[in-house]
Amino acid sequence: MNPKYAIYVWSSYGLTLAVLIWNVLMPQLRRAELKRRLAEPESVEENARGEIE
Amino acid sequence: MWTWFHRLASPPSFYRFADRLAPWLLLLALLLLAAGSYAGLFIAPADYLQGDVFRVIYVHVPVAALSLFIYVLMSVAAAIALIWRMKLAECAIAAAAPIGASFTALALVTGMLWGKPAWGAYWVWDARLTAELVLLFLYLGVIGLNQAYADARTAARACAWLALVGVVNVPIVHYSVQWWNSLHQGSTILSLQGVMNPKISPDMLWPLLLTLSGFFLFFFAVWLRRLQNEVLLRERRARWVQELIPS
Repeated sequence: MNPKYAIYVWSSYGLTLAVLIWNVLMPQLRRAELKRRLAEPESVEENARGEIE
Repeated sequence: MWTWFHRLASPPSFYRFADRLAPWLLLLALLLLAAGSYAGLFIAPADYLQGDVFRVIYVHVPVAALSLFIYVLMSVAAAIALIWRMKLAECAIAAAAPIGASFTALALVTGMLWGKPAWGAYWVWDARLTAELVLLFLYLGVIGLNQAYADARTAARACAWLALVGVVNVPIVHYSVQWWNSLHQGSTILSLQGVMNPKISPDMLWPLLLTLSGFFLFFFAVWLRRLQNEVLLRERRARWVQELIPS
């Protein structure tokens, strides 16, 4: 690849990879957090007040 | 078919369906993306005018197409949510907005990285670029509205209205290069003429079709995962959710 353009091309692909990883990881982290919070005993009371969000 | 569709609209059925489908979609998407990116970077010939910098096309075009597609999808879900009050449609809007925002931001940034060597500037207040920036603000508006209300259903209705009204910007983004003088090139394949008579060499086209299909499958995979989370949150008092959570 022409070194004159390499920085633009590789930056585009690098940023794309970062966005893809973010899109895969965020729902998984959110799922784990949701399951943990819903499993807590006090979450029953929180649920009733609608505070779990 | 309608029985199957109605059963899928039920949150527990949908949750289980998404659990089975999402990993396969993601695997297929990553394979297509890896193959398309490799071919785009190393196999496709350099452009006669732009040289190697045209290789940005293999990420820029799919994410730009997705940024429009996701908003249209949100507006369809918004119409369903407003007319039939379907919970899953409300979840669909909230789940799609962050993905749409990330792809729109990526389309803008990769466009800037392509624009600097091609046009000599990272940014110009061109109709296509400005309308795409407005699209990003619309996505951010939906995300903000979704978090602004304590009641999830009130938030969903506000998001649905914005998704529905904002869809007017989608044809503006798409046709801006035809309606106004623009530095941005016209559609290469994402138009009727483009499909009938592609303006791109087949050597350059097939990697683009691979990344395009890869990005679309990727979107559906991560959208299903986010939808599952929304369903889990809204159905937290339901027995099937309680059974899912280990106590």
